Amino acid sequence: MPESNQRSNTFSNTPKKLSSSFKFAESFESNQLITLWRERLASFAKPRILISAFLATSAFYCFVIGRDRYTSVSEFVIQQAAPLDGSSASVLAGAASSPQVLTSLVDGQYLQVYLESSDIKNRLFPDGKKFEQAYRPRLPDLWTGLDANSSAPAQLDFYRKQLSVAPQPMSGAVILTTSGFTPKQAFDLNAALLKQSRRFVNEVNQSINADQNKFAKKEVQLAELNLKAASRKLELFRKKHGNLSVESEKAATSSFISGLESQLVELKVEEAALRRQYRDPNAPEVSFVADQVKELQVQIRQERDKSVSNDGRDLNTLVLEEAGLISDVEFATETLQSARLASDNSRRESQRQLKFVVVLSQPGLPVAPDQNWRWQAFLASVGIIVVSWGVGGFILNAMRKS
Amino acid sequence: MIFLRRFWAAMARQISTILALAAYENDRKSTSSSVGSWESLINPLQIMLFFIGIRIGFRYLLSGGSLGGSATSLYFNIVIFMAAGFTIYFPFRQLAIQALSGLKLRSPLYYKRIEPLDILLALSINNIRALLTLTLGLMALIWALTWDFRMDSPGLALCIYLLTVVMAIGFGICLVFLGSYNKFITRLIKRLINRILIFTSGLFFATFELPLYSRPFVTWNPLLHAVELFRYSLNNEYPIPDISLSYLIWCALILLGFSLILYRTNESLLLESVDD
Repeated sequence: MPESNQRSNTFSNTPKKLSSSFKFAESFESNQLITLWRERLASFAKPRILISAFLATSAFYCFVIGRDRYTSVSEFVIQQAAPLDGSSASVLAGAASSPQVLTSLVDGQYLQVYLESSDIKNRLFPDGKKFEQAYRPRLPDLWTGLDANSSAPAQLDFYRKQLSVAPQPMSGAVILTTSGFTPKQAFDLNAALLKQSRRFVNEVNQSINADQNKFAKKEVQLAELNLKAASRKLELFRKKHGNLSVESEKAATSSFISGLESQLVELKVEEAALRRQYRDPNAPEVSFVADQVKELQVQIRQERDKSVSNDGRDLNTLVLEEAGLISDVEFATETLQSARLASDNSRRESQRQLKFVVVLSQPGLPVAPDQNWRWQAFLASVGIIVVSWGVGGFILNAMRKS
Repeated sequence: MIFLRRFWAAMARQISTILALAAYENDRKSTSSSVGSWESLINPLQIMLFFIGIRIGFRYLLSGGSLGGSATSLYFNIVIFMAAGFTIYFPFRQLAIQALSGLKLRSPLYYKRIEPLDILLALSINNIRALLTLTLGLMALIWALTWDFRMDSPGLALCIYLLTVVMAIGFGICLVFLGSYNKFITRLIKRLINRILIFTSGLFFATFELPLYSRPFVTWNPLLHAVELFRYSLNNEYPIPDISLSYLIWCALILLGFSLILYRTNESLLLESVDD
């Protein structure tokens, strides 16, 4: 009271003094307020209280306001129609080295990348707005979900968080786990991804086999056309030169000339005998045989010229040409045989290597929310405290001591 | 309610005692070495790097000049794989051997309230803090280099770590009393622990890499279960055949219970030093 009286007196003295003392009182009060709040904050800013508050907040979020999450799980294996040859690579190696398991594991890894790709996300959720609407945050948990007007990378990131594809190196099986904020969301996503997995295996693997088969058939057709063309060329060649075979024609001509030559030899022997028999070399008997010899020699030369000269039948060139055409036909025949064999093998192999998605466990509609994330998140908060205390304490202590 | 309040007060006092002992031991240790408190980091780091080097070297030789190709590389960077193993194996080894070697720190026993078990727990806390710092540092380094942070089940990781600590304390105390009948047995156990544990605790291998028939030779070891489950908590896709959390929990609880009974009856044995 006396303090207030003193103040009222001061107020009544001069207006200048009044305003300055009012300012002083205001600043004094605000200083007091700040000090009071500082003290209050200092009383709260103790490690024990801060840690308790942190854990309480974490527990409140995890067990009270956190949205339910539902999980749907399916398991499948990418199986070949017939098992591959070969056995385990090493006695020390596990089941993962089995060729069948390895093939499935590799396919599973491809599938993992494929299912998490932006392509599949766009196929399953073509409309970004609808996707945002389906997974939008809801009260009281405004932290979880996909925000409105989110960017494409943010949507893809969110989509990837909703699924887990885990190829198992032991069995080669692929475990597909999907989560959602409702049981239907989780189930539908799992079923849709399973469908996409089937599509991947059928379309990609089987289309490779189909392409291989198509290629092999095309090769056979090409070889058939080549053979037909080569045969036709040979036929035309023979038709053009009016014979069945130049080789046999040449042989016949050769034997004909040989016959003439042997006849020539006989006549020459006879002529020599007649020359010894008759003293006059122009005797009619001798002249007759000598004329025959000359005529035969001319005939042989003519026959030779006829068979090899360019103006004549030119059998040597024709033989070479015909041999080339025959080898073309032979090559085309062999190519056709190989192509047919390869096509048949390809057809058989593609049947053998055909892959299928064998579903071991169909996805089920979840009946209760998955509580695992709540405990994991809360224990993670505890872990943060433990690790901060352990590591922080150690480092601070070590730094202080050194 | 009164009982609860008294229980809480007693627990708080006990924790304060252990923490005070840990701080005392830290101070003492920092003055005995030229590198101060960092020494408790340097020694395990040397061993860890040595084993990581061996593992990488073997991989290099077996794969014919490449560092890839191992099935574990599908799930982990090799350093993370090894560091995860060490995070579990090293505290276990340190705590078990520490208990078996007897307590070197005896001066606090002058105070009536302090008991040998308190000292053992205080030393364990210091060891765990140092090893935790080391592991976290290595993991942070790898995560920073590869930009691939993954911790799928942090809650499970915490549980596994705590279970390992509980199991290590229980195992160490049990060994102390087992070896009290014969010093030779203690020395033998101490040497065997190092060798058997290091090769059966999954430091260098993953269980799924082993053929089916050889797994029973290693899966008896609960430490292998702890190491594999810890790796699984980092990456939930990591396969853990024949590994069970319940087996680990049972082993930890049985060892702890049994050791506490033994401790109650033979407390003084912990003070006897068994040095090699």
